[in-house]
Formats: sequence, structure tokens, C-alpha cells
Amino acid sequence: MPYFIFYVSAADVNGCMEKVQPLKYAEEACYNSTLVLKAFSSGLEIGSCNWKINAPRRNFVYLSSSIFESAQAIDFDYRSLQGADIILFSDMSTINNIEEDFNHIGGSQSDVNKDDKDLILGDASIPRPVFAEDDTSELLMDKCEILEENDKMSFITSYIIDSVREGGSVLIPIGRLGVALQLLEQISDLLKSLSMEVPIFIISTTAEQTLAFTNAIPEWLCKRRQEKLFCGEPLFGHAELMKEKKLHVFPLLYSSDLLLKWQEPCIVFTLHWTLRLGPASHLLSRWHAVSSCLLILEQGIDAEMALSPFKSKSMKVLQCSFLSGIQSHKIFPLLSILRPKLVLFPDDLRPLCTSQNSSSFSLLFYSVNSTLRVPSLQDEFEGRLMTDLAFQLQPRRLFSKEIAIARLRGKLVLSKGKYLLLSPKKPINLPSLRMLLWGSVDAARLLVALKEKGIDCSIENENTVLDKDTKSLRIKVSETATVETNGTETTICTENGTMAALIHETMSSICEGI
Amino acid sequence: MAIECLVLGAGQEVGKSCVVVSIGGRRIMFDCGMHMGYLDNRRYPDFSRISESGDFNAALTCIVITHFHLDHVGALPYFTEICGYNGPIYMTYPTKALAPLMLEDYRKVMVERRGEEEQFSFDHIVDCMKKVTAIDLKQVIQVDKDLSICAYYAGHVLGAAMIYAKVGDNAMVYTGDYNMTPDRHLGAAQIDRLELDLLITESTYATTIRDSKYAREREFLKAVHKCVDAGGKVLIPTFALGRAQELCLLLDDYWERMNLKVPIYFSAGLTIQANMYYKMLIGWTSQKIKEAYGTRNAFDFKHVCSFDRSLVNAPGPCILFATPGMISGGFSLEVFKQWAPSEKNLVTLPGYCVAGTVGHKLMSGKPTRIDLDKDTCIDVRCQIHQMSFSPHTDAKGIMDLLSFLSPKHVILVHGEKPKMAILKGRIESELGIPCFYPANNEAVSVPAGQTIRVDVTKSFLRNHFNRNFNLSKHEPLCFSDTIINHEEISEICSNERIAEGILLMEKNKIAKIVSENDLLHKLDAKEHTVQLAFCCPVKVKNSQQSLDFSTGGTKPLPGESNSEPNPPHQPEKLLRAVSGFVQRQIQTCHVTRGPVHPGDLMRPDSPPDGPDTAPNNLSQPSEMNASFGTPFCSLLELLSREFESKIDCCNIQKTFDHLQLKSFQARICLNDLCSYRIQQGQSDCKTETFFCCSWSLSDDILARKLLGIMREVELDISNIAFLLPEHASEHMEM
Repeated sequence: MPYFIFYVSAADVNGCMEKVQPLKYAEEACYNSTLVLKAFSSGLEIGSCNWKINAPRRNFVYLSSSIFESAQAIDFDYRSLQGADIILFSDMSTINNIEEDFNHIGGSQSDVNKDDKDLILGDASIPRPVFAEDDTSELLMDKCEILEENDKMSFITSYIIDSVREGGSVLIPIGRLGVALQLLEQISDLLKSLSMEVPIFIISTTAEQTLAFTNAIPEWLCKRRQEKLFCGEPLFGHAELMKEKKLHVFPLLYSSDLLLKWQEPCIVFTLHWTLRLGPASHLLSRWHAVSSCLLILEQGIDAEMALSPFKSKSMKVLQCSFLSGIQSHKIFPLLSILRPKLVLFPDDLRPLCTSQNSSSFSLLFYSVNSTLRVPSLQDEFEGRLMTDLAFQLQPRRLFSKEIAIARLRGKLVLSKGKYLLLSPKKPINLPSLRMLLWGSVDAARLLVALKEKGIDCSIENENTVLDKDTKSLRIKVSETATVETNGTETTICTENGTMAALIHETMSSICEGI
Repeated sequence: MAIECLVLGAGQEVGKSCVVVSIGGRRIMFDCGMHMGYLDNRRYPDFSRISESGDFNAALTCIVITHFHLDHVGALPYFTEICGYNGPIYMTYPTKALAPLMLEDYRKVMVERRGEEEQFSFDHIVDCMKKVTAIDLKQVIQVDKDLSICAYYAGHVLGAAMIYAKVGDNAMVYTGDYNMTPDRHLGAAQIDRLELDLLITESTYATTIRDSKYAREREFLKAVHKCVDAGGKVLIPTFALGRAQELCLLLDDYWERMNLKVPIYFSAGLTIQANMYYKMLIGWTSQKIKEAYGTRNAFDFKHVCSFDRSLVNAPGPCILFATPGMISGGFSLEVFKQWAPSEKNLVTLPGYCVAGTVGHKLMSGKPTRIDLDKDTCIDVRCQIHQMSFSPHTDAKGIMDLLSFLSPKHVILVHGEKPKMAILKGRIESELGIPCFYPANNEAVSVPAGQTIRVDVTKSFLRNHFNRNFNLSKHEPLCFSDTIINHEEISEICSNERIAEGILLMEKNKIAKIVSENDLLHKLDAKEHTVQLAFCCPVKVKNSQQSLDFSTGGTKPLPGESNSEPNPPHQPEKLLRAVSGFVQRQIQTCHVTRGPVHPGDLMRPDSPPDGPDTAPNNLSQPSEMNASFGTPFCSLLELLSREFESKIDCCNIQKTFDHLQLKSFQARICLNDLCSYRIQQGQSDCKTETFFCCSWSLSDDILARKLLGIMREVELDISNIAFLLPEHASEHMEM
């Protein structure tokens, strides 16, 4: 294939995967005891997720394409995403529909809000729905979505069966695994109910492993399939189909085994959805001119472009779009239920924002290749103080304000993004004296206070410090000490530690301190 | 806040595991098992002890089941459907899938074979299982706002989990049954290094240390092979799940290798069906099986055939897996009755059998006759092989887990009393962890720490990290106890990184830990700095002839001519220079503030009379350093060496005119009128030099020690030259 350059080898891929730390949903992964990362199911595919990331002073949710109710994977676990300060909204699936949606709500592209101011003012003509949380979750979890998807599936399936009936083969390039598995299941069910015997092929080097895998991961599947585990039934029907020889799995198109089993019309699932790689391109060159044959393409692929090499195309093409993210009318109800303070929203989706929805949180718009500075939402770090340490503290109320303060000494530990203050191994020995004083010390009061303590003292001299207006007073305390104070600072001079402590204590009694 | 642990089952015994733990205002029931050895009301835990009123929904926050064995889950349908518990129940996916099979199997055995009145019906089991929430390993489940639980891989059986529970600051682990060594189909138990207040662990093999499993497996295979070679039948009584699959993997593999054709039977559809579950739950098996399943699922057994009752007495050798495991009844007992009388046959027994079962009787001695009841007795002539590869951890495994987790307290359950007592002794003496092993219906309360939510300011953290950064830059300051035995000193300078700050509490606000600056800012106040000072005389010993430097009222300076063994080059010049410097110094001898803490320098209100700004200080320190530094330097050097020899510290900072340790500064003072000089008696001018010292309050204790040293020492300047650093003598060149 001259058009494709393989940048990585299989060894590179394996090497890369070895560096990956696999996580379960809702498993806490800690990086450097600072970051705590948790993944929650997004419903898009088996194992797809949204991330909740906590760091000191910051926490945010990375919200990617999500599907509320999935036919394979665990549903979108949006409740677990509640309570983050920031949501980085990154579900771009609605981008193709923006124009449609806009016409739908009566605006036009020219009305698109271009600056934040407009966002807040908004358009009064747009009705402003008020959601209670219950209503909102009802709206989010409405059955419409999955019913619509099922209808779509049934339509495609019946279309496929019609083609097969007419003797045409069907080529289904595998795009999303979940879609392929669901189609496979529905097609085989319908064939069975119609008692039709049409072979189904899956041709892919990884098919066997993938199919085996899907039947061994109940924890990652939707409720309906989990129920199958508890009933002792296989999670997916394909194991049974293979046993009944209705489904044939081959790694390669050109193998003698396949040729033995091969019969047309047939239904083939294979790679690659670009139609440029893998068995799909070979089968297409075989079938493109047969008008009864059918090609199923997912939306998002430019069909004309994809099929351009096949000039005399007369094969039918069914292009279908499957739900691949949050529907645009659910985005803001969802965001309001998640209660963030700030949402980072793609600039490309700005037209979706109307005044109605930005009431409970602020919006910041980001666009590709430009850095967005996100303001800090928390000033302080979150910490926890061990009670046994707290009990050792001696809090003191300050007269002036409704404040109590206490000296604190403890072992500081950072764990999972939170600071923890523990009792040190040795007793904490809080200083009995006030180490920090504030306010001014009046020399006269100090003199009185010292005398009250029974200390003999007298004002020795009055100096005026050269470059200052403040007067410095010197008090002689008994024979062994002097105190020099100028109102904002004091020097205690003595060799006698006890005397120093006594003077210090006296000082703390006449001014505030800790 | 204490954690209270009420043992309802498996206290000093094996059977009906059930522990109710009250932690941080939540009450969790771990396991809800039944005792296989009793048929009366002792078979269930005494639930009335949880709530006298019987309102279990109010009394319990949730139930967590560790694995599907009946002694861990057997009483659950009774508790939910008969006693009326309706709250949340958690178990892993495999346990939720397999527990109903075990329960239904047991119920059938009880009702159909023993003809007993059923304790719960099939519908009860189904309804009970509907209330169960399945959980995955390592998934943090938020049971409510405060309580979160998380399951860790326990080995033992498929889906077995150790349960971590955390409420606020208190955390514990209940291990359930676990295995610290991998077996043929399961991996070894795995857990993170968690901070735990309490660990409740099983202790089945509290005193046993087991040898390699490989040898025991070979022994088992040999015994089975020998028996079938001789045309005998092998009865393997097992639980339908777990051991059956493990042994089957072993036999299937052996059969394949040895090309044996003897049929292997599973007694009931149950085990066949169980294999179906095992195939789906392969993600919970050992690494080896997991890696291989893409190509072949190890639970697709090649040599296992379906079984029919008529085959029990069919001629020829065979292997039969039959339930229940301890031959307590059911099909295994039925087959045992028929096969036991023949010497050719073999019965394998599991590693552990509950008292009262046939299995237990067979294990204790080698009976030739077993009385089943008044009317039935069985002749036992068959061979008996006891398999000791029980999927429980041995004593070493328990100790390993405990030392890995080092919880603050340990409670032993699921073991035999005398062995538990021995293990408790080991845990307390070897690991120093308080350990308990309460009997059934006893409660143990262990203390647990708690925390208060606070905010922490940036500046507090910055101060802390700066301080630690500075500490780690220099070697840690510590004082050797041999020289000065003062606890306070080692306290100030201990290695433990203590953060210092102020807790600020305001009405209706989260308490905040702030730095001093934060507090002043908050109060809108200015610090009133308190400085301590003392101009301290130090004795100077001069063994050689000293020069008199006194000129113009200056204090004589100990002779620097002696500072060189050979007389210095120009003594007069030096003399003059020194006196000039001294003259300038005379006018004031200010308490100078050096850099006390890095933070102090940043204070806006830092005093303007620091060494660099004081008008009377030398305007050109570099000049001074070059011309006059030496004599001071040498004295300071001497003093600093004294300090270093008396206290074990190596971060004394020395500059040309002062030395500094933390905030303590000392400089030579030549001012007779120094205001910090407090005359006490007559000082000997000839033998004393004054060091003007200043320090801040926080270092008062340190400073007093240093002053003490200064008072005691005698600086010997006679051999000062040897102390001079190389570059210092260069300064002498004038």
C-alpha cells in the first residue's frame, strides 16, 4: 500500500501499552500524592470514560463524548461527576448538527453570539426552561434516545435483510465496535426469526480475540448484559452463532478455510471504514458494480470521497449516523445538574450557548491551539487536622474580633491532594510564651506591669534615635536586665533566661500576641 | 471516635462468618454466613444483637459479602427475606453470579435430601439477589456521602474480595478468606498499602506454614492416577465452585499430558453450569489463564463428560466430582456410602472439614466404620487422600499481609481459638500491633483517629517548605546528646519536619491554618518585634606574650601578632588600622538583625538598622574584610569551633564580623559603653573579649545554651594561626 506509511511497529504499540496503567471505573489513581484521577463510564463504547481529576486547590472534570444509555457499555455515569469546580466540556459530537439545531430554535447563523456579553444578556424570546434536578435527570435519561437508536438499528437491519433476500451481499465496515456488535446481534436475530440461512463473516486479524474478550468482561457492560451473566447466559450471542456455524470468523480474506465456507449472498463485517485498507477494499472492488449489494457507511465519512476509486459504482450505499455523544438539547441541563462553577466550552459550539443556560455557572470558551488561562477558584488548600493534635492546642479568643487563635505545630503530610496535619511523634511542646506580639508597647504601662510582678525597675534614660521621630525608652530592670522599647519594637537585654522570660511575659500581658 | 466490632460469627471458630463494624457513625455487616456444622439456630448468626427491635434497615448502613462460600453468604437470603433487611448489599460480580448457585444447591440438599423444613425458598434467593449491587475490584463505591468501600483481589475463590471501608478519616479492611499464593486458576491476594485503623483477618491457618503447592499437587495426581490404574473409582467431594474448577484444571491438564482416557464426571449440572460462569468471569482468574483465553478458554475442559446417576455403579474406573465438599449430605454422601467399602476406591478430602461432617470424621484418624445415624453405618475400607491445598493463606501469609499494611489494630476471626491465641502473641510481639480474637457475640472497640476539615494558606505552606528546603540544604542541625543533654535542644532541631503555624478560627467559617504574616494581615496589625540581646564576655587565654593594644580608651584586643607563629609583617600598621576601626565602632554597638528567617527579610516592617544600613557600621565591608577582618575572624572562628565542638551543628554561618546560628548572631564588641553590656562585678579587661549577641524570641533556648558555652569557654588564641583558613592569612598582607 503505497499510500500508507506505518509510523509505528507492533513492538512500538506493545511497548507503549506496557507503559499504560490500566484502571477500573471509579478506581482512584494517585500521581505523586498530589493528583487523584478517577475514570467514570461515558457510555460511548466499552471502557470509554470521562475523567475526574483532583489536585490541591483545583478539581475538574474532563467530559468527553458520552451516551446516557448504551446498548453495550455501562451507561454514562454522570452523577459521579457532580461537584467538580471546573468542567472541560469536550464532546464535539454535536458540531455537525449545530446549523440544524439553530434553524430549529428559530435563530440563524448570523445570530450566533460572538462575545460573552451577549451570552449573559441572551435572547429574551427564547423560552427559559426551569429544571428541577429530578426533571432534569428525567430529561437526560429519557428513553427516546435508546428507542431512536433501536429504531435506527431495526431499519438498517431490515434494509440489510432485504438486500440479502434480493441476492445481494452486504458489506459492513467496522467502525465503532459497539455498533458492529449490535448490528451483528440484530441481524442474526432477524435472520433466525425469518428462518433465513445467510452466512455472516467477520474478517479481521483481531476478531477472534475481540469476540472472546467481549464475552468475558461483564463488569464493563450495560445492565441488560450484566443480567445475562447473573442468569448464566453468554453476554453476547456471537459465541453461540459461531457454534451453530452461522457466524464465521477469519483473520484474513485470502485463506483456504474461508474459501471453503464462502458463499454469496453473505454479510461481511470487516475493516477498514475508510474503505482504503483491509478486506473492505477488496470486497468493494468485487461488489461495487452489483446493484443488489449494499454498503453500510457511518456518517462522518465522506461517502463520495470514499467511493471515488470505484467509478462504475452501482451498489447501494446506506449512510447512517449513530448517536455518538450528548445531544445538544441535553448539554446544558446536564451541566446544570453537575453544578460546576466554571465550564470550559469549545468555541465551535458557542452557538449552543444561550442566556438560558449559563445561569448557574460561568462559561469560558476555548479553541484549538490557543491557551486558555483558567482563574483559580479556591484560595486555600484543603487540609485536615487530626483531632488528637487539635486537642493539644490552646486556642485563645481575641477580644476585638470574633476570632480565636492557637499556635500549632504538627507533622505535615500530603496525601491524595490533601494536606494532613498529624501529631508529631514527640510531644509538640507549644511555646508557653507569646512568640508573636503586635500593637505598640507603652513604656509606662510596661513599667507598671513589671512592678506589679514585683520586679524592681526604673526608666533609665530617654534616647532619640537619630533618624526617627520615635522615642526609645530604656528601662532598667533590677540589676540584671534592661528593656529598650520605642513602641514598635523592643529589645530585652539580659543574660538571665528566666528574667528575659519574665519580661517577655509581662510584655505579652500588655499587648496582643500569640 | 472508636471503631466497634461485633463478631456475630466465625469468632474463635470457622463457620457463619459475620462481623458488624460500627465506624464513623456507619454500621457495616461484613459477610452473612451460615454454619455448616449445626442444624439448629446456631447455624445463623444471632441477628437480634444488631437490633433488638428488629429494624435492621435502620441499624445497618450496608452489607458487604466477600465471596460466595456458604459460610460467608449462606444466611443472606434468610436475613433479607425473613428478617426483612432491605438496605444495600454489595458483592463482586462473580460472587453475585455464583452465590445463588451455592445457595440453591444447599437449599435443595437440605430440603430434598435431608427432608428438612426449608429456611428459605428459591424465590427468596432470587429476590435477595435482586437487592445486590455488583462491584468491580478497586472501584471506589460511594455507599453514602461519607462511607466508601473498595474491593481488593483476595485469591481464595473466584470473585473473593478483601473489603476496604472508609468513613471520613477512619479506615479498615475486612479480608474475608484470602490466599497469599497464586493457585492453578487464581492469582494471589493483592492490596494497596492503605492507612488502616483496623484490620479484620481470617486465621484458618494461624500456625501452619505450608510448603510448595507444586509438590502437593503432584502427590494428589499420583494418588488419583494410581487408583484409576488399579481400576478404582475416585470420589472428589468438593464445593460445586472453586475447588472443583481448580482440580479439574489440574486433572484435565494431567489427562492431556498422560493421554489418559478414564472419564471425569461432574455429579450435577451445577458444576457444568458453573464452568459457564467461570468462562465469562475469566478476567477474575490468574494471569496465566487470562492471557491464554483469547485462543482457548481454560474452562472448556476436554476430558470432562456429563454424568448420569446410573454411572455410580458402572464398572471400571472413573473420577467423580460430587457436592457437598465435606460429605455432610447430598450426593457426595450418597456416593461415599457406595464406594467407601471398596479398598480399590479413593476419596479425596479437602484441607478443612467442619466438625460434625463425615469429612471431619474421616480426617480425624482412620476410621473403619462411620455411624451416620442410628440406623446407618458405613464400612470404610477405601483409600483416603487428604489434599492440603486449601485456598487459605498460611501463617506466613497473614504475617506478611499485616506487616505490609501495618494497621493500628488487628482482629482475628475465622480460626481455631488456641491457634488464634498463638498468632495473636506473634502479632503483638513481632509487629507490635494490638490484636484481639473475640468469641461469637463479643464486641471489641478500638480507638481511631479523626480529623477536622481546615483550610491551609499558601504562605503557611511556603514557610514550611522554605524552612525544610533550607534545612535540607545544610545538614540537619542536631545536637549531640553526649555533650549537652538537653531535651529541648534536640526538640528544636529534631529531624522530624514539623510545620509551625497558627490555627485561626472564625465564627461560621472553616478553621484555617495560617502563617504569622497571614494572621497580622488578617488582624490588620503590625508586629511588635521583640529582640533579645546580651553583650557577653568571653575569656581569652593567651599562653604567649600578649601585646597591649590599648589606645584612646579602646579595649585591648588580644594580640594578633601572636596569630602568626612568625611575627607579622607590619605590626604597627596593623595596630593603627585596628584602632581606627575600633574608633569607628565605638559610637554605637547596635543590636543588628541579620537574616533570621528567609521570611523576615521580606517583612515590610523589618528594622532599618540592619548591619548594612546602620550609619555607623562600616560603609565598605569589603575593605574592612580585606584589612581588618583577620583578628575578628580568628576570634569568631575560635568561638564557632567551640560551638561546633559542644553542640553537633555544622551550619554556623560565618562572615567577616559576625557568626550566626539560626537567628543568633554574635559579633565582637569593642564598645565599653555598649548598652547591652550589663556589668556584673569587675571584668578582667586583659582576659576578656566581649561578643555582642542578639537573637529572636524563637531561638531563645538555643541562645541561652550558646551564651552558657560562651561563659564557660576560654578561647586560646596562642595557636590561632593554625585555625586560620588559607585565604584569611592572605588578608594579612597589607
